[in-house]
Amino acid sequence: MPQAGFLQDWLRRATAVDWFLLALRIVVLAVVGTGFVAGLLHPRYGREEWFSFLAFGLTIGAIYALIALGYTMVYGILRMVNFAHGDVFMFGAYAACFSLIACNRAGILNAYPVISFTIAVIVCIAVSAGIAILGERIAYRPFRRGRSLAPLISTLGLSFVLEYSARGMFGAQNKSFPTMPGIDGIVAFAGFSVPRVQLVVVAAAVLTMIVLTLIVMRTRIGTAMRAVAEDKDAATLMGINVDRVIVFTFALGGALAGIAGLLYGLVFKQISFFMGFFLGVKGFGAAVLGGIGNIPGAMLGGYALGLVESLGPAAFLEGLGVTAPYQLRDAIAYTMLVMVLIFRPRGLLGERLSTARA
Amino acid sequence: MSALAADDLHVAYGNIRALRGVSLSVAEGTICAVVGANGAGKTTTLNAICGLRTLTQGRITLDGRDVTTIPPHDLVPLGLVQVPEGRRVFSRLTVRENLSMGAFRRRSPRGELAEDLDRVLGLFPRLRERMTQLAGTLSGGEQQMLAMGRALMSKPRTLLMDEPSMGLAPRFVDQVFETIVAINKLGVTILLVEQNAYMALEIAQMAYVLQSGEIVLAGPGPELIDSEAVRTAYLG
Ligand SMILES: Nc1ncnc2c1ncn2[C@@H]1O[C@H](COP(=O)(O)OP(=O)(O)OP(=O)(O)O)[C@@H](O)[C@H]1O
Ligand SMILES: [Mg+2]
Repeated sequence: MPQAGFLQDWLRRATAVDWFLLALRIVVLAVVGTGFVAGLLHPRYGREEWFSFLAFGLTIGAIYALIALGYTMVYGILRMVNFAHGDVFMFGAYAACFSLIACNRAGILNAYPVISFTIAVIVCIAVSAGIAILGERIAYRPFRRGRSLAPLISTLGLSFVLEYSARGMFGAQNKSFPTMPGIDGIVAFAGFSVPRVQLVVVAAAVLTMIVLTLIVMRTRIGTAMRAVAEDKDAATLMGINVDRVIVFTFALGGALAGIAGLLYGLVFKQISFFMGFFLGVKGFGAAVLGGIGNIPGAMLGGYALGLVESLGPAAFLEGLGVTAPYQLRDAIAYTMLVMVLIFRPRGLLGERLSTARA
Repeated sequence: MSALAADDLHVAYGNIRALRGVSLSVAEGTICAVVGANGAGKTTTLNAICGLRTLTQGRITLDGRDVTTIPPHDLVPLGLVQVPEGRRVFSRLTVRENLSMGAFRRRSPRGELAEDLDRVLGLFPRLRERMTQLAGTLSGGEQQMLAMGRALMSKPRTLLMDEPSMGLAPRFVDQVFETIVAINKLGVTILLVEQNAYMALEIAQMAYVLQSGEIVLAGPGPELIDSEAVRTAYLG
């Protein structure tokens, strides 16, 4: 029987690390399982609460996904991580914030909310894409030849520069985000209720991802992006200007981060110069979770991270008798990330490294 | 006037001097072959001509124009394109998308591109049934056809080919050489690099033998076949 053969093989070859990982799997599954069952036996939440966890998970997941896409696209083409990407997101949030404030001053925010929203979208896309392009110029392009770790350091440095210039310009304290008219309040249907802003955010994110997919899969420049990601020399031989395609990729990722910044401001109503770090780490985690370099993977990873974070505490931490499980939201998110990487190093949709080779 | 001329090309990889003064000239409308053993510098020569390798010395002329310092992607609109060694098709793109990447720099109207696509598919009928298939799932011979078709979609006047018959079954090898002659008959100048020296020399009006980064012999292809040096070194 092949199964028995496999088991014998495994027993013969298993090293201490293999045994450790096996034990780890069993422990994790046991803890999650126990918590889950205990939670089921003593239900504390009703349908509506679960639904609101779910809705919040999808909302924050959409924001993670938009950020993750920027990481994954740049990685797909350059095999490098852009650590300043979170700060591109932060600048997008400030850009959206200031343009909504300006609209308010001009008196059009309440009179024409759709126009104001459109202005905010355009401004945050322009600012974030611009900063992303600038980042490519100063922190990537000089180091592209040769396989050094220099871009790692240079983008980390750029991240600090961006954060502290934001702090200098906008102040160290939290800034409150203007309230958009028409997106406050609760929408109720079929016995459930959701904050309207969450519906807006999820719809906007889904629309953005559809547009992105169309750009990548259906346009000339999108096809060139995929060609460059696979083989830069062959793409050059076809007359494709690889540098330009790389700039376009950064701009596209920046634009998505800008939109994420706007949506984040609408949901959380507060932004700060330091939030790019936290959201950047989450977005990067989501990209790795989905399989870095893979565009649908980044979307899936973002939603998965958001859902685990928002459903996890209620689903199994509460059952384990953990007090204040919502404080542990980030702990759950990162634990899951590490688990996925142990069990499935290439991420949910990632290809084997041998076939994903550029 | 020669369609393509390389004059005294020198290329080094670190301490390895891969090309030491390679000069060659391809007359317009002809097939020119470069033969030589593994590591002789054939691929390096083609990549240097395409601008993918930095010259330490030398000059490249295309249709009488000095193109030495022109960036590689800008040579395609000037009518120079390469079918690289190992085909290098974009395996995660469909056959159609690969062909469209060949036409990336063309600003022709849709109708004209469609006609050219039809003409290319006329040369490679097997590709027609596989337009929506991912290029990575094609057989080696089909990938070679795709690589040639992709290059032709740029409407080149000069086509460089690096070992198009490498790793193909004999049946496909014959087909590849027939196609090369057919492309040449359409007016495309061809610079062909081959290990399959006998077949390459047979169809080449002019040929060069490359050895350790230097041209050691030049002459009309069929004449080189009879030369003692080529016989002993490459034809066995
Ligand atoms: N990227 C590189 N780095 C260092 N050395 C290289 C590189 N590419 C080629 N070389 C060296 O340059 C010389 C010429 O290589 P080239 O690939 O041009 O040979 P070739 O004639 O195309 O051989 P083959 O028939 O095997 O394709 C070889 O000695 C090779 O080892
Ligand atoms: Mg070679």
